[in-house]
Order: sequence, then C-alpha cells, then structure tokens
Amino acid sequence: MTRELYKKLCCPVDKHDLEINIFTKTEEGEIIEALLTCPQCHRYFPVIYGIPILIPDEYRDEGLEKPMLKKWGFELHEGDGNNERRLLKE
Amino acid sequence: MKTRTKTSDELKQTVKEKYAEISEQSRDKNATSCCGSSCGCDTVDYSVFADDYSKMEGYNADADLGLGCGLPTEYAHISEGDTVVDLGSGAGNDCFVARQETGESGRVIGLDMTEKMIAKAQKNAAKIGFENVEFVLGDIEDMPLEDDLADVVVSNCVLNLVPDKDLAFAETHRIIKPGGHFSISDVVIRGELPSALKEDAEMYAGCVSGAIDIDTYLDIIAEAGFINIKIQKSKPIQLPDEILASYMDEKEIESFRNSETGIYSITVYAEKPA
Repeated sequence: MTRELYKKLCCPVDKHDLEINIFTKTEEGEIIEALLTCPQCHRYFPVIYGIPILIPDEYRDEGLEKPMLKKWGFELHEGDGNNERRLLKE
Repeated sequence: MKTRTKTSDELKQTVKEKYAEISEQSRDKNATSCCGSSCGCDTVDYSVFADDYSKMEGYNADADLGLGCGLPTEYAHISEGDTVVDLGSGAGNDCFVARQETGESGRVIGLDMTEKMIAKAQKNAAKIGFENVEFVLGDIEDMPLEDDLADVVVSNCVLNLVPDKDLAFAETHRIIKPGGHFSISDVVIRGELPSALKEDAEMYAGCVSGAIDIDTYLDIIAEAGFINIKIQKSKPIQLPDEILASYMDEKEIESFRNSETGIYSITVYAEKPA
C-alpha cells in the first residue's frame, strides 16, 4: 500500500479518516504491515502483505489477524460474539 | 447504522466462498460461465457471458479468470491521469486494462471482498510492474474509500452479486467526483424468470439469480443521484437447453424461448452531476 492510497481510504462504517501505525515498509516507502484505526468508532483494520483489510466486522478473519496483532504488541478485546466490533484492548 | 438481513449475509458468504474457489482455477475452466459457476456439463460451450479481452492493451492472461460479462473499460472513457475504481476487481484484469489508459500519472484502485482474489491481483500487479494499481479488501456496500475520489468507476459482472443494490449505487455515487462517471457491465433480467431458476444458489454465483429487473436496475441508478444514464451495450444471454431443463419441462422451455423474458448482459453509463 502506498501513502497515496492510504490517503484515499476511510472507515467503511462511518467514513471517518483513518489513523495509521506503520510497522513494516519497503525502501521505496511501500507500506507492508500497518494498523489502521478509526478515531470515531475505534475499530481497527490491519494492513497485511501490503493489503489494507477494510471489510465489515462479520467477514473478518480473526485467525489471520490475531498473530499479526500479537506481533505488533496488541491484543483483541474479548467481545460478545456476532455483533462484536473489531476493537483492541486498551 | 444499517441492518442486514441474514439471508443477504448468507448469500454474500456463498459468493465469497465461491470466488475464493474460482481464484484457484484457470481461465479455461471458468469460461464455462460468466462467474465460473459449474453447470455439471462439460460438453457444451457456456462462454456465453465472457467477451474477448485478449486483444486489448494491458491484458494479462494470469489476471483474466474468464469471469466477466462485458468490456466496461472499452466504454468507460478513461483519460490519462484519471483515478479509476474497479468494483469487484477479482484477479485485476480490468484494473490492468484501465491502467493502460490512465498512464503513470493516474491511479487504479481495485476493491474486492475475497482475500484470495486480492492476493492474486496484487501478485499480478507486481509481476507487470504497475505501481499505481493497488488493491483493497473491502465491501461494495460499505466502501472504505473517501468521498469524491474517482473520475471513473468500472465494474464487470459484479453488482448483480451484491444483495443491496441501492446501497451499492449510493456508495458508487459517493466515491465519484462531481462530474465523474461510471461504466458498469452487469447481468439483468427482463420479465419474470421461473423462481426455481432464480433461487438456486449455484446459479446465484453464476450471475443469474442475484440479477434484478432491468427497469428496477435503472431506477436505482437514478435514485442514487446519477444523470445521463445510458445503456451502452445490451446482449441477450442464451442459456442452453441443458441448463433450462433442470428448472423447466420441455413445454416451459419452448414458451420461455419465445418470450421477451430473459437474461441480458448490459453495460450502463451514468454521470454524477458536476
């Protein structure tokens, strides 16, 4: 993901601009691993293998995201199943 | 916040799984139908939906899984420097064709909700060496893209698979710049298809039963705020008897063939007012 693409993204739910925490990027500045967060609804969206994952809550793959989050030093907030919003533990 | 019915979520999940499976297959296998649906019959040529891309600039064989129903990029009036968004970008085929027209100064964003398709598309982009073609894992009903960013939106045989078409076109309108436009190929229905045919989940992934009536389709586009709505291309899709026979008896097939009723592949153009 380039910086230019990042600037064009928004939260899929409330369309708020996203904040970014970059963990890995290439020499050319391409973002490979990052965490996007929505300051309004506090959802998180990871960037894995350079792909921003911005699908709604119900299609998210916890198995894919959990190890990445752990690697970046974050933990998932334990939610209530189906309607769980993707939140990180403070 | 909007609510979704369980059924539409289930349908979306079906479509997502179906496409993950398809992304692993090659073009030859998928040419059996517009969206790679297997009809259980290998002796008939079902490539009724797929138009030929192979002669177009930017064409990349690895990115063409044979899933389209039109050539939206051919009708999309893309100019150099444009930002183009492809809804349901799959393995990236239309994005690469669009990139030929935007050039280096433009930008192409592919949106798809299937991880495997996105991964495949990104691999193809890296192989071709296009740095301004990028892919986002996202949902057409809840696009993770800023307002007013696209000069042109294209989509090839995808919106019929989206359960909430009002939302899909409202979101499309939101991301297009004032004065921008879209050119979308899709499958629509004219008349009333037999309900068994329409409800079949396999046919759903094969583009048919998620398709809606053409007049309703055009109304939704107008409702979303688009103007100068034009059908750029319309092509009736002839389903072989072998397919119809699973849903109708001989007499019903005959009257179906003689009616106006049918499935059409269309390319629609519309503008967002400046």
